[in-house]
Amino acid sequence: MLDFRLNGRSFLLDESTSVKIKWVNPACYHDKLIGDVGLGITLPDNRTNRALLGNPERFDKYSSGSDRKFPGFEILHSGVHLLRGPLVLNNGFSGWLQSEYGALREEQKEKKITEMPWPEDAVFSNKASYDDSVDEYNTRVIMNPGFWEGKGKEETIKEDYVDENGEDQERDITRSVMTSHQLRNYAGYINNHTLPVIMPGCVISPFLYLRYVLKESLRMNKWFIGRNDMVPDGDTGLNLWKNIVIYNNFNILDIVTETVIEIKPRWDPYTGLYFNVPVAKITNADWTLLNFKYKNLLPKIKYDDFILGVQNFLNFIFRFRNDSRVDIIDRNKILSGAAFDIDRWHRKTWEKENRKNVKLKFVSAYDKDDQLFASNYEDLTDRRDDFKEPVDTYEDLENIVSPENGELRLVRSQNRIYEYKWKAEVFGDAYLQEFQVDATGWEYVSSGPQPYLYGDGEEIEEIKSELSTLQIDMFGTPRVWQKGNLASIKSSWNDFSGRLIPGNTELWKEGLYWEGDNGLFKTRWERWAHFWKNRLEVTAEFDLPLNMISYLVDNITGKYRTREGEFIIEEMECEFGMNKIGRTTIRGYKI
Amino acid sequence: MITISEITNASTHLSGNPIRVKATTSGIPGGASEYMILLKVISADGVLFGSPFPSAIAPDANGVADFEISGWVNQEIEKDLTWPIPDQYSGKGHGWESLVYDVWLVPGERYINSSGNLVENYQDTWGTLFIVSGQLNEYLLARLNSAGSSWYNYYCAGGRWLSFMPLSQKVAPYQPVKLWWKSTGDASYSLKVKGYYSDGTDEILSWAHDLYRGVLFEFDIQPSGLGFTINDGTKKLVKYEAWLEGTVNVEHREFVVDHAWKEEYWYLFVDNKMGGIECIWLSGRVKFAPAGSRSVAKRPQRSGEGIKQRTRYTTAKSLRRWTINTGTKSRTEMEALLMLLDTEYAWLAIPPAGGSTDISQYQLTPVIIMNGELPLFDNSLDILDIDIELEEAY
Repeated sequence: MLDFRLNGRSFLLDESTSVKIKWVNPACYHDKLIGDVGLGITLPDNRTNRALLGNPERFDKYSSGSDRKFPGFEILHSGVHLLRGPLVLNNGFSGWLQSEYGALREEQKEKKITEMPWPEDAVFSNKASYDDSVDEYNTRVIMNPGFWEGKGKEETIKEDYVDENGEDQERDITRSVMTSHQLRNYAGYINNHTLPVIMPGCVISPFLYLRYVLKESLRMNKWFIGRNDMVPDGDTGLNLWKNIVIYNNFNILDIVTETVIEIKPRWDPYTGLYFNVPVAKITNADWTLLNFKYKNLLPKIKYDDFILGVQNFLNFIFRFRNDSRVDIIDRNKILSGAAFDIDRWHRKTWEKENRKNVKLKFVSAYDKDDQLFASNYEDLTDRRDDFKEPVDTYEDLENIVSPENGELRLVRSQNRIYEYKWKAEVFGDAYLQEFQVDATGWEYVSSGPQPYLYGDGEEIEEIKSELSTLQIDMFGTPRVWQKGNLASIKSSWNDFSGRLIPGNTELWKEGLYWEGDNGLFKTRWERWAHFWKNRLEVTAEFDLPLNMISYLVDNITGKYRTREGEFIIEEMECEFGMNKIGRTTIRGYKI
Repeated sequence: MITISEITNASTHLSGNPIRVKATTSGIPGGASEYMILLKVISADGVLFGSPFPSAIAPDANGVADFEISGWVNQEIEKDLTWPIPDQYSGKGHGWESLVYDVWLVPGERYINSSGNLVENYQDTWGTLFIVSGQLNEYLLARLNSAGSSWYNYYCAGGRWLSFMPLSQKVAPYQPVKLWWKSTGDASYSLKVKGYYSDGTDEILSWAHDLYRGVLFEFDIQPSGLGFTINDGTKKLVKYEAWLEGTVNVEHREFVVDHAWKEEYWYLFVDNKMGGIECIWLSGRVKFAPAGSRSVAKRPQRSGEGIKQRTRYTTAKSLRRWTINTGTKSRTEMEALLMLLDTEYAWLAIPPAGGSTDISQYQLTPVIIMNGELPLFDNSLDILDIDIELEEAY
């Protein structure tokens, strides 16, 4: 028998009361996070129900334009819990049931991950090596010579660089003195420290483990991880659970200064005269390790975007269950798992749609404030057909025999893309006169990584993630050129986007790029993408008993079978009457 | 610590009626939030698909959570019966282990502790429940509840056959009567049948059976199959009684034999949805009127086609249908036929043309009872019989 309860107390229903419940499989959605829903709930208007809802019909309860929510609502049938969550009444006693996960998303959808109650006063734990199964952060070394830009006094120096044609050049640059200190004392690296000795230019940035952030952010919202496919079975397989950290540009060292007031002259261009200005000149600066806030180590992105970003980057989905548990499920395991046979309840033949033939485009949102991307980056998706096989080094590029005009090649060691084209070569003579020569050759076009395309259909489906990664050099060191943050300089805070980096050397250095044999597509997406780009949508009806409905709901991400073959569920819908369980309609994709 | 009450370990329940399990916590741990009492239902013999079934309810102010587990266990179980009917040299009792399934109940608790971590603990298995697929109507259930009883206590422990038919029935001489019962424990029983003859004599036949509490037992009480003489020209079997003797003595049921000649004897086996399958003698008029459905498709006539080639084709399917009158029955027998409107399983035993007393010559066909209404009683009309509409279930 159908039972609606609010905080354990049953509503009084009539014979015609029914509810249609739709459960969805998050594995089949790449563009949004989605929750289950109970539709078409109409509660009879009687004394019992009015009292349970706090007399919603009274005038003073009406408010224009806003739904009324009643948390703690449950739908049961013969004692079996079908759905829990807040009841949303939007018209008298009619409304719908939002799942608890849907309610969480509603609360969190505008909230940034940094707004959660992370530890505020953490003491830095300096270790020679961090336990990536237990510790909350590590201090892996990355290269960021741009950290100190815009902070403090500047100087002009000569700098060597590699130009767009891959040739060594020299130029004048102006940079902060602290940058020079960093380059001199720490070779431009972050976390290359020798505590307790702190030299000028030192940057210490703890990088929070992805596993810690996921586990804690869920726990703060009273969700707890159940099944976790990010942890591989046994000792085999890639352990993404403990091998990934979240990049930030925050220095937990800060400056404690001693100053003396000095009078310095300043030129006024309007009067043509000098005037005296008092300046608190720093005479002594001590760099000190401060207690720090975890929120400063996290990107300012919405929590929704963060979770969806993880899903669409690493191809693990988050399945929020009715029992406060979240399962982190590998989409690839869905396809390879055993199929549960539900043929005995199958009624009517399968209805089939047209088979899809799409091109999947895997896109990561790169940080525009990282100079290694910024103006150096161009989306070459439209020129995918021009790409030829990548080469390892620039020398390999130049050794290609008879390249075609317009062909594009990735140089793996530089993670840069070059185009073979007609270009103007610039030369100079002894009198510093420039002259140009028409030539053909390789010219730099864009830095990698590029969005990854898979499939040959006309229609493009994007799988987009707000998370990305850093450039990784040939030695496996993540590289970035981005201004950093200090606790004492909040007024010029430099936001950073959500980026994941290998926490150690166990992960392949290109493991978080899309392309490459060890890249994300090959290691995490190929199997699923192969299925998804040519998926065949099917629909069928089943006469499922309640225990089977419950099983399918709890295992909606699983694989199922009838005599016609195997399939996965995208959504299932069933209408429940007072003493009746209607046919269950399952829409899914044939494997 | 969770304690279970209002249900007894090793008790038996019908799957379709509410099965209430009351769980009480000894106390919520200090600092805990989101506290829930858990109850896991595990299919001990693997019959229930999707097992185990976890469930969680927040306790009320008294620390009590009321679980109702029928939804988990009320899975459709294909009903079955013994056919062909055994002869006098075969066993009379058949145990159906497949019609009773066991579930374990495992209580537990779940909460978020003071450190903000989820704690979930299950205790040891509390016990076993036996489930019989079936369901009593709400009014019958209400009467039992008011009397402080239950299906199990009234029928099984109370020594009653699982039957809605009255204690005294009119039967055909060779009617394959079936009686069903579920034992309260593992014990030895004697099935006893006493036949009464027209010459004033009687005889008692007895068969020993070991009955088990996890098994539903079917007894075939066809008198010729038991070894009674139906009619040898000097004496006729006038009536017979059947009962069980053992730890629980199961009631005597009386079957009065109607020897009036009939050309054919039709029988309807009906699942009464409380563990038994009744055999109902349909002694009235039988109308066999199958229905057919067909669709016709047409194609153009091809050049040269003659008188034997068709241009219209059909796909057709037949469906056997019967309308059978029950024949004259007593009021109590008529009222018992209410079960026909509830049943989901029925089989029609079809005699060969011209009739036969040999049940082995009958065909058994699964049927669906199509009546939407049965006029079982009208005190101004003296209803003695009704028509039952049947359709084959293929």
